[in-house]
Amino acid sequence: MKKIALLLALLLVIALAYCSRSAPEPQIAPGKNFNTAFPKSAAGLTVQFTQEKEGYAQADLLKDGKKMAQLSISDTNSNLTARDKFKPGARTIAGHPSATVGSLGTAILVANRYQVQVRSIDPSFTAQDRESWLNQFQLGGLKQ
Amino acid sequence: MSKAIDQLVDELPTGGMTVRVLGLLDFAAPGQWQNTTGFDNTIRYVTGESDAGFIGQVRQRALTLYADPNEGYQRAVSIYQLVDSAGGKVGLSSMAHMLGEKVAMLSFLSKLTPKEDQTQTVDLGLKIVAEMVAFCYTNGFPGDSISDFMGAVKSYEKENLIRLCGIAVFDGLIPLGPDYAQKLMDSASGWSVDDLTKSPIYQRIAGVIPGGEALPFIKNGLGSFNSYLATFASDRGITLDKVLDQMRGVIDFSEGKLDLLAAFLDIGTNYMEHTGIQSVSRSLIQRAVGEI
Repeated sequence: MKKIALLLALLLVIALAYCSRSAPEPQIAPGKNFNTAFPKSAAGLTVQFTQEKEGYAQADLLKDGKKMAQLSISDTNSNLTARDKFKPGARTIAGHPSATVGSLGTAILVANRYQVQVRSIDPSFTAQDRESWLNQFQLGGLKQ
Repeated sequence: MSKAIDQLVDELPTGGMTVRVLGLLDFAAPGQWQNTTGFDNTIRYVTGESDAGFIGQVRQRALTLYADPNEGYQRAVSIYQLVDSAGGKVGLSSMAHMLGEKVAMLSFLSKLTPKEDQTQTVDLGLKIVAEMVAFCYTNGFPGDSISDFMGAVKSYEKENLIRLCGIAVFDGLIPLGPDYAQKLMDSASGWSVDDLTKSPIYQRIAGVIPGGEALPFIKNGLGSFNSYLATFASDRGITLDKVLDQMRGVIDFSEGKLDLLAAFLDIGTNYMEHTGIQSVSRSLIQRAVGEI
């Protein structure tokens, strides 16, 4: 009886140790991997890169030097809860589920991993403009 | 980590000598800088959003990013702090609460030590290099080319731009005169390690300059900044007369004693730290919004 109790205790300790093992950290893509996915500067509008960190890249969209919008791509492996706002059945943009980010941002989730976001800075940059610029990202390079 | 970013931003002063002299630079960068203090305020200002739930999410993500030393934000803030504290802020506490009244520089005369031109030139160069290093720790190396990177630096605005104006005016134009950029370029090419190690700024920031060898980094960094710096003042209508006109409203100083005025600004302000904290929090908040 004592042996069985000891065995059970041992099994319990092993099970607890197994369960408490931390899950492997998800890999986070370097921000520089995202640069080629950004839209190219077009007539009268310049895409100016402004930040590049692990799992994140950001650019400003400038018109005659004035900031119109902020463009960004982030790897949601660095913040998994960011995926929660993309609900199943949500409206899609460029074939990817979309969500609003506050009142001035529109985002899509690509390959269930990369959040591509356009935020209005200038009041004249509308939700339609955000959607239009989301369509101009080269999303083919963003893969799981 | 010394302090969390929300505490640093919450503790930024709303008045005092630093805020007053930064405000004087508005003529060079009209409407670019407003002294935004308080972290939630800054989130509202940077994002344009007002929803409390949204602000809370951005705050949480920004705090998480800042708390990770590998992200570079803490190091950027420490560079701005180190550069400013090298000036020896003996007058800062006594001037911190002077609101609206004109400061008599003569009352601080015993604490003012004008720098030799060579020392001032080295300090000017090191402040520019510190700015470039802090920019990289804050924003990484955006884009895929040097021109992308320089494009990001040249499109400085708001807190970043007013800080560059501060470097040009307080550490260049006032102590070295209108040809401060040329003096810097002429001097920097001949700098030795000995020249640098005499500088308290260098002693503080040498350890955080990337690449191991500080001297080549500094020379290359200033070289790439050369053309931008050469026209920085003229592009913004910054002249010594205009600056001194502005200064007269705040500080009582003697004409012909501009080296003393520069020394006074050095000990009486911490404009690099003040606007540096604002710049880092802006980049951090922009990224947090992109990641929530």
